[in-house]
Amino acid sequence: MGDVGPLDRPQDTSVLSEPLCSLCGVDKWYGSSRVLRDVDLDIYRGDVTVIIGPSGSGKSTLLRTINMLERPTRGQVILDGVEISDIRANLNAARRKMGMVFQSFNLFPHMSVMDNVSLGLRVVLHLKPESARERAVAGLERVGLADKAKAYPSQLSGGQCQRVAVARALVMDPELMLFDEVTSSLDPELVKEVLETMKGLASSGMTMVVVTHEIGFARQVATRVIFMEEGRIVVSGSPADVLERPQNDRCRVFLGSVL
Amino acid sequence: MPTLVAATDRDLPPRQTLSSVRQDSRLISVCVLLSGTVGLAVAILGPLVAISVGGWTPASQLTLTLTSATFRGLLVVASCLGLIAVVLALPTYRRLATITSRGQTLSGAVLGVEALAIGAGALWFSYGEVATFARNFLNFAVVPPYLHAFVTGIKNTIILAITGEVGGIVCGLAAAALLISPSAVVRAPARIYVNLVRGTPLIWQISIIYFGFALGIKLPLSAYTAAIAAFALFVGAYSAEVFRAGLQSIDRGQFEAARTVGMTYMQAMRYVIVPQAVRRVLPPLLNEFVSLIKDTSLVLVIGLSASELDLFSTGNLVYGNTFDATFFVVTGIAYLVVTIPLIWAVNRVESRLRVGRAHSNG
Repeated sequence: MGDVGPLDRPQDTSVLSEPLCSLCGVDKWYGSSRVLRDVDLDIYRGDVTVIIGPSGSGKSTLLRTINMLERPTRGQVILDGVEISDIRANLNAARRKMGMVFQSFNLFPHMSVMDNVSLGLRVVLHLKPESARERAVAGLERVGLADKAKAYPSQLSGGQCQRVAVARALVMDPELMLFDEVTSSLDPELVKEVLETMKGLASSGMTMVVVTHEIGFARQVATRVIFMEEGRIVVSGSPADVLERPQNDRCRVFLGSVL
Repeated sequence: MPTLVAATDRDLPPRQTLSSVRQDSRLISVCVLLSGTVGLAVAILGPLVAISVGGWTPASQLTLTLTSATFRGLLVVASCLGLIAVVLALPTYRRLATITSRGQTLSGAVLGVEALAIGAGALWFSYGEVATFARNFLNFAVVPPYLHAFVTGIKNTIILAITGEVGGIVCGLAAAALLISPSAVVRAPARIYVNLVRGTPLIWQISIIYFGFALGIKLPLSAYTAAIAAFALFVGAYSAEVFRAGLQSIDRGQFEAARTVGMTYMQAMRYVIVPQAVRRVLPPLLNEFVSLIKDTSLVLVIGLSASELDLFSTGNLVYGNTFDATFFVVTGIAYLVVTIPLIWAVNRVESRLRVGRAHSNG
């Protein structure tokens, strides 16, 4: 086992001692291959948890387990005190509290940017068209794309698409945002605008779990960095501990190859 | 050197101008193109004009036109022009230096081959048993009294095809909803239905539903409704596979994105997956409809009443009364009148979807 250190919680969340989301002993098997091995993770309100690790280490699977896109083979996922890995849990209600942004954007290509962002407001939250519109515009303004409301995803750059995807998740007013390698399919010059959007989000106090290869982003924004390998959380600690003074050999090798 | 047209407006591609075409053409390529074009025009328009001048009826007059020296002369001219185009194009094509001139030579040669084939074919026909053929198949004088019957036939063919298609889409959607289930138990009934229908001929299905169910176990089905039911079940099986493939072709991430916003399975289907799948299944569904229009001719086996006859049954009946095969020619033309515009529409829809214009402005 690796040296899973004590969780360093931000000081100002002492009132909210309960974690927003916990994974307890989560295992995930795909057929005969084990992609998550006994993962324990607590996410507190206001945390920005950045998960790094080599490809195939189970980072994305871990993230997708948090909102039950992947059902754990064993173990529990608890959100806000409710076990959502329970087969009887109301997943739609649970997912409403979490927003997710994907590597490949997954915008709805047959809808305008406005409809992409406001669809959930109308269909899931049953807002009236006008108030859904207002909230969608506010969400687009937050990512700096209010002027693209009428455009279609095919008319936008990759970076703009990803910012729309962020807005689509944000307008649902989630308590937790999940980011799955959101800059990996972007051209280098477009990465910055998406990272800036995410930094803004982090400074507004949003609880975030971010799977990324952007070590610089982790260093600046993360309150905690997790290094995963072969389905295990090998190292967990503050960015300074994990990134600047890595104690673990494999973590040091990985950082050496990325930086 | 080809002239380079400066693209001032970034949204417009540079257009080939007349002067650049002229510059890039070669004498030989223009000759080939001209000879091929004129050859094909003469091969098609010449006989048509000759027959129109001589008159389409009676058959004896048509025979005279088709064997006349003018008619044959036109065909000889057309064939020769076509031959010239081909002969000129073959040795020169590889040596031409510009894309424009090569394109002209290629088009000219293809048109020439067509002119040669039509001209020579028609010539061969003109020296054959024209009188017998015209008397039996081109005796248009007998058609006018039966025209209203063919109009009814077209009407019934379209009614059968449209009701069958609509019923089939309903059956197909229901079956597809089962086919995309991860549970084998849920998929099984739909799979059995689809395979049963796809594994048997339509003519057998029509017969079973009418002779077996309607007459045999006395279901209250007329021949007409039995036929519509058979078409609906038939189209349902094939469109079920089309819908299934269409739904499954939508990227899984679309579904996941909808679910992470908090939508239910049905909401994700309704607002995200189905609207995108519809665009993809439209061309195959339209193709299926064109096929169904022709397949309605199989109602011949169950014997409809006179006012219910479809196009082919009409032609068949009128032929039985008159023993004039011209009505089969008329039947064929009537089918084409219905199907060709549809085929054209399918191709338009397909090319629109391929270019992807459907998404970019709306």
